[in-house]
Amino acid sequence: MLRVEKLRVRRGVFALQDFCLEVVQGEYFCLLGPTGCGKTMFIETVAGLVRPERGQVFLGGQDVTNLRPELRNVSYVPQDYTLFPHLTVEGNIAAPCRIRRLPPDATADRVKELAELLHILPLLQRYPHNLSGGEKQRVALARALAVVPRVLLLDEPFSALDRQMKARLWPEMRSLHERLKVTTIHVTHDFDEAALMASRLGVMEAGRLVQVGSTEEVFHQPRTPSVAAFVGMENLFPAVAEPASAGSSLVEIAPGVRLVVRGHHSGPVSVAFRSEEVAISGEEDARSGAEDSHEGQIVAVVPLQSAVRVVVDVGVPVVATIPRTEIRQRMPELGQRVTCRVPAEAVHVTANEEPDAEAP
Amino acid sequence: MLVAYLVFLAGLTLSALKFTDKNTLCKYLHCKEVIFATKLSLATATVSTLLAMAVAIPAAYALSRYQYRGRSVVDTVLDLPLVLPPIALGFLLLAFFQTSPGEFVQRHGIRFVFEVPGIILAQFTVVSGFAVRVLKSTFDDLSPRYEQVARTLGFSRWQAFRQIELPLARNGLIAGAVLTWARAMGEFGATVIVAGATSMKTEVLPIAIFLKWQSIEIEKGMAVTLLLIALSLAALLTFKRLALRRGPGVI
Repeated sequence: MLRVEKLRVRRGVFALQDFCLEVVQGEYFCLLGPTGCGKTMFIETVAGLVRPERGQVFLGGQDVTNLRPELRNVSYVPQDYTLFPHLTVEGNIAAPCRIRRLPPDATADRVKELAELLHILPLLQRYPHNLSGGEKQRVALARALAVVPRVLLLDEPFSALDRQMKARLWPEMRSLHERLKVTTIHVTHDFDEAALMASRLGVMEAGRLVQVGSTEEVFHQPRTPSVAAFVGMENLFPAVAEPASAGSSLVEIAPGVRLVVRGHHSGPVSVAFRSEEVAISGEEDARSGAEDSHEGQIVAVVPLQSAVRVVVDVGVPVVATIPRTEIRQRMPELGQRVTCRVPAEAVHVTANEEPDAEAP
Repeated sequence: MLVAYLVFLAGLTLSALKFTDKNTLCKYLHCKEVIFATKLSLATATVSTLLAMAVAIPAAYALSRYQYRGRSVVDTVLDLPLVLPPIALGFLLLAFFQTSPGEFVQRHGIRFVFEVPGIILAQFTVVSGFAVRVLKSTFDDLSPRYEQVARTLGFSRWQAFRQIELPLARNGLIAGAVLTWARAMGEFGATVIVAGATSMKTEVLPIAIFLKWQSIEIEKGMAVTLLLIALSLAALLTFKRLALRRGPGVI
C-alpha cells in the first residue's frame, strides 16, 4: 500500500537517511523512536508536506513523490490534533466531505455514522475549545476518516492524554482499526503503546530505520543496543565474548564477571537483558561457584507499584526487578550482599559496531 | 506608569477644551467647510485602507509563510515606509510624477497631484507598510499546522487560505484594518505635499487643522482637533466591539 524507497529528507540539522519501508494494505504499523529521531518528518513526507531530497514515495503502486498533499488522500492527525477552532465539531468532521463537494445528505450521514462510531454524537454542535483532550482526539480521528483515506497517519495520538485515558483508548483504537481496516501508520515513543496497537513495528534512531519486525521480534531480539534500551532492557553492557562449550559462549561484562549466553560469539559485543530476568537470592542460599551466579552488594532500592527495583553492584551495576509477590517476607536492603543469576536464554547479544552488520 | 500616561493623554485633550467654548464649537462644526473635510477624510481613509489591506493581506501572508533567499532584504525594504517621515514619502511621490512614467499616468490615467486621488495615494503609501507589518504578525501567530492539516484533508492551497486561515486570522485582520484606518485618518505629511492644502478641495481634517493654524484661528483649529479625536475614538471602539463580538476560539 505504502512504500518508500531510499528516502532522504533534510530540514535544518534533522535528516532522514536511506529510509526504506513497506506497509501493506490494512496494516497497523507503529513507528517507534525517541523524540527528535525524525518520526514526524517521515509522516510529513508521506503526507506530502515535506519534499524529499532523494527517494520515492509510492501509494498503492502510484508514485506520489511530487503529488500535492490534497491529491494524495492521506489523512494526518498531528500531535495537537489541530482542529479548526472556528468550526463546530460537526463542521470539522464534515470539512473534507464539503471541500470535495459531496452531496449534503451524504455528508450529514457520514458525519453521523462516524460520530456514532466514536461516541461523539452529543458533541457535534460544540466548538473545539470546549472539548477535553480525549474528545478532541476522537473528533480529529473522525475528521481524518470522513473521507476514507488511503493511509491514516497518526503522530503521537495519545501523548496529550493521561495514563488512565490512554489505557482506555488503546483498545478502543485497536477495535476501531479492526472494523475499518484503514492502513495506519502510528508514530509514538511509547513502547507499551506500540506493542499493544501494532501488527508490525519499526524502530527509528537518528533518522534511520534500524529494525522492522513483529512486536515479539523487536522485544526479544533487539538489533542494536539502543533498540534494546528502547524496548526496556535496562541492563546493557559492552562485553568481550569467547566461545565456550557447544552452543554457548561466555561474555565478560566486567573483569571477572562472565555471563553464559546461547550461541557462538567472539570478540567485542554488546549484551542486554531485562531486569525482570535477573534472579536475586540471599547470600546464604547462593549456589556458589556456578558460572551464572555473581555476588554483589545492593546499592539502590526503588520501590514501584507492583515490584521493587534493586541495583546490585557485581563489578558493574546490574538492575533487577523483583515482583512484590516474591518479597513479602523480606524487603531488600541497601548494603545487603546478594547473588544475582542471569539465565543464559535471557541474555541477548548484539554486535558492537555497525548495526547493519548483523542480520536480525 | 500606565496611569501617568493616561493622565497625560487626558490632560492634552482637556487643554484643547480650554480653547473652546460650547457655542462656537457647535456652530463651527456645522459649517460647510468642516462637514466637507469630515466627509473627505472618512472617504479617503476608507478607500486607502481598503487598498492597503488588499495589498497587505497577500504580502504579509507571503512574508510570514515562505522561506526564500533575500528575505531579510525584502523585510527591510518593506520597513522603509515605516521609518521614513511621511513628508519624505510625499516628496518621493511628487518626484515620481515629475518623471515620464509619472507624467504619463497623470495625463492618461488619474490626476493625482493636487487632487483628491493624491490624498488617497499619499495615505496608501504611508499606511500600507504599517498594514503589512501588523498583518504579518497576525499570520506569524497562526500555526502553519492549520494549512498543513487542511491540505491533507483535501483543501487546495487557496481553499485552505480562504476557508481556514483567513477566518482564523479574522480578528487580527480587523484590528489591523482599524489601526491602518486610524493612521490614514491622521495622515498629513505626505498628503500636504502631494495633494496640497487647498481649502474645500483637498481639505481633509488634518489639513483643516493646519489651515486654521496657518490663519491663526486657534479656536477653530481646536474644534477640528476635538472632532478628529472623537471620530477616531468612536471608530476604534466600534471596530473593537465588532471584533470581540465573535465566535469562540478565534485568534
